[in-house]
Amino acid sequence: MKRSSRKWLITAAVIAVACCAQRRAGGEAPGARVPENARLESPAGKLHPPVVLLDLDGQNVLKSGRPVSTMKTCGGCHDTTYIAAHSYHASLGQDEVTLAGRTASGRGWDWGTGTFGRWNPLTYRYLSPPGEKQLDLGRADWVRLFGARHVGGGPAWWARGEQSLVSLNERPENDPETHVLDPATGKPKVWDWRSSGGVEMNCFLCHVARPDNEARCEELSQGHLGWANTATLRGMGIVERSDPKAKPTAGASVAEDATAIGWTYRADAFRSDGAIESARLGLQEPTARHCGACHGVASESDEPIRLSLSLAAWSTATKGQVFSSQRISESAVNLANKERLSRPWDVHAERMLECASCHFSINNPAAYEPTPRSRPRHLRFEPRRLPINEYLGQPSHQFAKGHTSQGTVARHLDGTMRRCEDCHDATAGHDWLPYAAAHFGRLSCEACHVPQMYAPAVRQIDWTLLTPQGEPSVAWRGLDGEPSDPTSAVSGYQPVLLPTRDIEGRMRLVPHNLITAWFWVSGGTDPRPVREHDLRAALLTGTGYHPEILAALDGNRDGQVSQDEQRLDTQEKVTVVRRRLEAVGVASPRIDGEVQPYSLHHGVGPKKWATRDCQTCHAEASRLTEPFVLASYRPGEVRPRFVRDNEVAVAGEVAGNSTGELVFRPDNGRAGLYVFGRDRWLWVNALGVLAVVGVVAGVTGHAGLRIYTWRRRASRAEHAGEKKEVT
Amino acid sequence: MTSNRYELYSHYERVWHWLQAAGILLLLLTGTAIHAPDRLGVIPFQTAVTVHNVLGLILVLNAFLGLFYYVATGTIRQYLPEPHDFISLSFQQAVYYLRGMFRGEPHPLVKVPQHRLNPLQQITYLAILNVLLPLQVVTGLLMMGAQQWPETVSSVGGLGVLAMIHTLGAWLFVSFIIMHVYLTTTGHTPLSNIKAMILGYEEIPHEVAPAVVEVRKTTP
Repeated sequence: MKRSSRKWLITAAVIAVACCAQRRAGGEAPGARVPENARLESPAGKLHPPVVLLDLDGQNVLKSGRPVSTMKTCGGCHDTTYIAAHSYHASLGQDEVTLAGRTASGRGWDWGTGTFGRWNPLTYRYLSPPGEKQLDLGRADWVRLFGARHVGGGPAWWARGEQSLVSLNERPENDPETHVLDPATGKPKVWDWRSSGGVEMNCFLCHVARPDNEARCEELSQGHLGWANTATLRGMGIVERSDPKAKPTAGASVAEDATAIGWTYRADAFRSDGAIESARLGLQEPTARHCGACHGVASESDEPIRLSLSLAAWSTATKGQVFSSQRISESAVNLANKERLSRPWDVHAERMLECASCHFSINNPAAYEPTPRSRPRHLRFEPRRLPINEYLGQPSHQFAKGHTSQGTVARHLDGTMRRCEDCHDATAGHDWLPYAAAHFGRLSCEACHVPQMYAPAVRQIDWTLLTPQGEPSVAWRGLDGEPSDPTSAVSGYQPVLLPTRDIEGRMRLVPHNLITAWFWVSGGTDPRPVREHDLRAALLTGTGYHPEILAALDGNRDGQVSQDEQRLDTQEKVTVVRRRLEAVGVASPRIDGEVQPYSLHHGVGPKKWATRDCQTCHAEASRLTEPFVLASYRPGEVRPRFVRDNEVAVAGEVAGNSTGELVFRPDNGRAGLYVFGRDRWLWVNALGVLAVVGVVAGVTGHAGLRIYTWRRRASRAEHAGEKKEVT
Repeated sequence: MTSNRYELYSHYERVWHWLQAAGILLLLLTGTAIHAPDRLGVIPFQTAVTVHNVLGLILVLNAFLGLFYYVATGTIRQYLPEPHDFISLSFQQAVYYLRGMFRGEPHPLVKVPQHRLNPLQQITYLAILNVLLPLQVVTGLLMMGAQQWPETVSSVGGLGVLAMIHTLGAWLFVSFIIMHVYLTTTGHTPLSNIKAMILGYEEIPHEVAPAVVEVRKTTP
């Protein structure tokens, strides 16, 4: 054996032994996944004292059998009042409401900045503000509908005027805090808060190892609001349905014995003194999986990722975002060319970052360090920190946040989180990039590092016409087939780059998804989205479309409404639907359309997956100006407008293309961006060509004339010479 | 026919000229690759930018060396029009180009070492060296240094305005080069001027050679 070969063999053997030794010692390579059980033995879980689960009256729930009060249970040591009051996850904008039509969104009916008060066409139902003439979504229904993505507390517990919802007395009809819309009659009906209970801020949802979100959401949707937090503990084996087959009954009173609702505390989970070991709860800092319960697909397990394409996975649905260390090629997604996608869904997840690594509590002494933006300019380092005991007493649940185009709640906290450049030294890794400072000044990091989303995202939603099942038509980008079908072919999409003013005032290109929505709006000076109840009443009967609607839609008269027919693409169809809406009492209905930009900040790939080829942008077919499809059709020929409560400079035009699609054509020149190789002054080139052609023509003419006259002179001279000879 | 050989261009002048010519041509080529990379795909964009920048700097350096040479040797006087008969001589030259040349008339001004440029050439070179070239250099440097001096670039209208002026200048250079190359054929033979710029001297027949000028004449 040659000496060099032997050397290689020895080296390989040493590496192999070292790897084995590290694994035996419990060492994990970066990106290795942490076993589920390890979570229960987290440092926080070991340190935390046993927990006594208390009800609202401060009684041990094992004795009282009533729902757990998180505020009482955790409030013995932690200042839960402070925590609930310092959390935009709890308030969802309840503390930022104003009068309808006075927000920056440009919608005439928005009265808040968050999910509470800011309407979203994806979820459609409109939370009626106080004093609204016609009730759409009452507070209790809001909790039932939006509670699946709400941690509780805030509007799920507090009425206006700092009164708890459960202590409200009946108010006049239409008051959205005490009434809900009766789906059968379309009239307001009283909601019994004392019977349903309210939803306190749910500490368990984010701090126990395996919260049962499914059970929680089921309780919420059933209206058993007071039991929702308790149901979360089913995942930890602390509570169970008394009869697994029994489903909760809507409207049952929480004041009744728990078994009436169907929940029983498992005595074997409690110690003899009525407390629960913290290890049993698996108390811990929230992981990405906890956040993913509301924010989208976030996986830490080895099980191949499946995409659940619904609004329950909000960030996945709106942006195609998946937060996981798993390699895309190992997922169960039916993705085109998947075998080549050896990158993780998100490199930060692969490098073992959790959501809280960036979105930490803003008074967490271990995590918080003011960014250069937020600390005094003369300070390089802010040494003042809360002592850990004070922090544990009053941990702020205002989490550090960035600045997105779609997240309008708690804007005062924008820029509190560390951005890419706060952790990464961009200059160190971009030696190859010419004009690095110029690029950094005009491109967000995400512009090159999130060049492609590999999961589908919603492209358009059309509420102008419902399906016979009462659903809006939803189209996804990057998906060929039904979202519920796991065999549908997924291709993902390339986001559009929009100039967006960041927290430091720089106008930089940020990748976005654009979601276009069409819907009916009623009223003149006080417009409101037409209530879903009215839409259903106007368009549908119990068995399908209303006969008038069916006649208008069924273009080929086969008695069926095909998918192509199921859209308001002619004026006649629009007129029929408008007539039907007026018939059910909708005043002055008109179609409105809007485009909501969703900025992308996750889904970052390893560096070799970033855009590096100059001609991706510096070319005539630059991706900067590539048209971005907004919709496959345009109901009622309505041109959608961009939602305005963001820092996006809408530089470009919305227009139709040759295939009838509605596209957005970016024109970054309007945002003051000049891209070599892509942008050019046509008149300069025209003038230049004219000058060159003029010179060439002049030179050619002059040269031609010179040759001609020279020949003539030569001929004359020759002729004269001949004559002379003859003479 | 006998002729005199006149040394018109020194070694340095010729090297300087051809360096500038090559530099400008390559700048136009790489500039086109930057301006419309899709249409000149043989040069990758990043290479084109790098080469363009380096060439630009070489051209500026060469321009300054040339300026030093012309000032130090006094040759710069050749580029300065003489005010007292500039208009009448320009008129004569223009009339020659537009009429006399077609009639076989002799050049109104014969090229000799001390007087190589006719008034129209003088005014053209003055415009190019004092307006067009500096404009290209300044706009080019500003674009190159846009990330170092963003405020300066913004104050003149941004990259877009700079690129517009630079492109316009490039087109004028293209026009000038075509005109310049064509006019080299208007010597006493079509290739005599180009030969002179290569070899440094020109053979001028006795009948067209000036009698009055003091020339450093070499033996034919």
